[in-house]
Amino acid sequence: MKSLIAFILNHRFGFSFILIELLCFYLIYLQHNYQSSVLFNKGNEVSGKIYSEKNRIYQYINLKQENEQLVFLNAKLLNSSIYAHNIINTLSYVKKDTILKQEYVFIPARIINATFNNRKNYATLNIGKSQGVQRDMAVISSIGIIGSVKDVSEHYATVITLLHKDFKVNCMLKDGSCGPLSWDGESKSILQMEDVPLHAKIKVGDTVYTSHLSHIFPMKLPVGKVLSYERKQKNSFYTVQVEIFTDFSSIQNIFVVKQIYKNEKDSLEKISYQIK
Amino acid sequence: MKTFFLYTLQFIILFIIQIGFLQKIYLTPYCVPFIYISVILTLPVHLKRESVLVIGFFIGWIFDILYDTGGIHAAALTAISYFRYYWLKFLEGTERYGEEYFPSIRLSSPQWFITYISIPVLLHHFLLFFIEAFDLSEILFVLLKTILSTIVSVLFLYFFNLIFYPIKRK
Repeated sequence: MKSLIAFILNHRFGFSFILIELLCFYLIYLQHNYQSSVLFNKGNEVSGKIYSEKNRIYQYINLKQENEQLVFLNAKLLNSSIYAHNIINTLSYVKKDTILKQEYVFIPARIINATFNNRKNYATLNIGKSQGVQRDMAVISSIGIIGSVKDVSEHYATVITLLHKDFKVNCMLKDGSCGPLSWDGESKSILQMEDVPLHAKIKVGDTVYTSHLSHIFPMKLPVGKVLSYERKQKNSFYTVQVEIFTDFSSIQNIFVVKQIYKNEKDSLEKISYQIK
Repeated sequence: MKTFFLYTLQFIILFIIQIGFLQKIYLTPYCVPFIYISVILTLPVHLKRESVLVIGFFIGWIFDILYDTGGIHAAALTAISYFRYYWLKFLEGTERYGEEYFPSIRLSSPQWFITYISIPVLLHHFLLFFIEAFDLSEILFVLLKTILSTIVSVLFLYFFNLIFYPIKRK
């Protein structure tokens, strides 16, 4: 026993190195474990505070571009509003609330930090649990989509962005053919849409939308435009290169999409699809 | 006490540069420099090697919390803290360390300093990117990223140390 203690004391440098490395890998393991990520919300809270301070400084740099986007969105909304239309038949324009079912609520928020040069990129939002944000909600901007909510603390939330190795979203081309969109890590503005059937009518420059198959995103949100497409040798599918509309280095004003009937839908699917 | 203050100041400056500027500059996905490793590399030679390990772990962990990466930075920086001891021992043949010695351009030659920082920086970047990808199929991407980022980091650290520890002219 005495010699064992002496041995450990003699090699304490090597032993402490191994212990600390084990601790590090345990921390990495925790990171990948959704259930345990609650532990990190405390750290989330602290870094959120630092980032919101930093963000106050950077906010002004991108102000011009942000304003242009907001003007564009305002114009778009005005164009689709009642003021922009000449009502010919008043009888047919009556909006019956009882037949419209609102499905999504859009919560405005701001990105206070974002990474875009790693293989897995995240963003931090300035709203959290107290504003009604929950895990797996969709995050969009006025011109494109951003990602989905990963972790939530009291006043902050982190988002897995499109530029993440494991993030996939089902998208749709103009003619209705669908395929999952993911990122290969090459360029921060070009993503890949896989598994597009060969009979699909693809045109370069067409807009790509989110599809009806996506679990978290509303249907028909613009994502990007087709840059090129190719059929990899002997594959029975096309791979489409999509240039996304979102510029992650300058985007600030975004919306978190809350699905009102999500719980109901999930529990129904759980029963019929036998998901454990 | 003065030394402690100096290292804290160095850490804060590197921290601000890393978080404020280097994360904002996006050249290619192949070039992502990390410079906080400088604090570990310039610690005094005669500091207890176990304390260097602990300091390395905590500095890495701070960046893990900020980048939301679990323990990747901590793991890589701890490995560098461990490697530093043997690396200094190996290089002792070309350089003699006094009591108050710490690795810098001021107390040694620029050639020695570049040699001294480049291998640990290369190792650190490789470990960091490899653990992040954790996929042997991406090894070429990781290697290219490591080499390009190392070149930028080493150049940056060289000029940073020139400014932070100015050479006294005789």
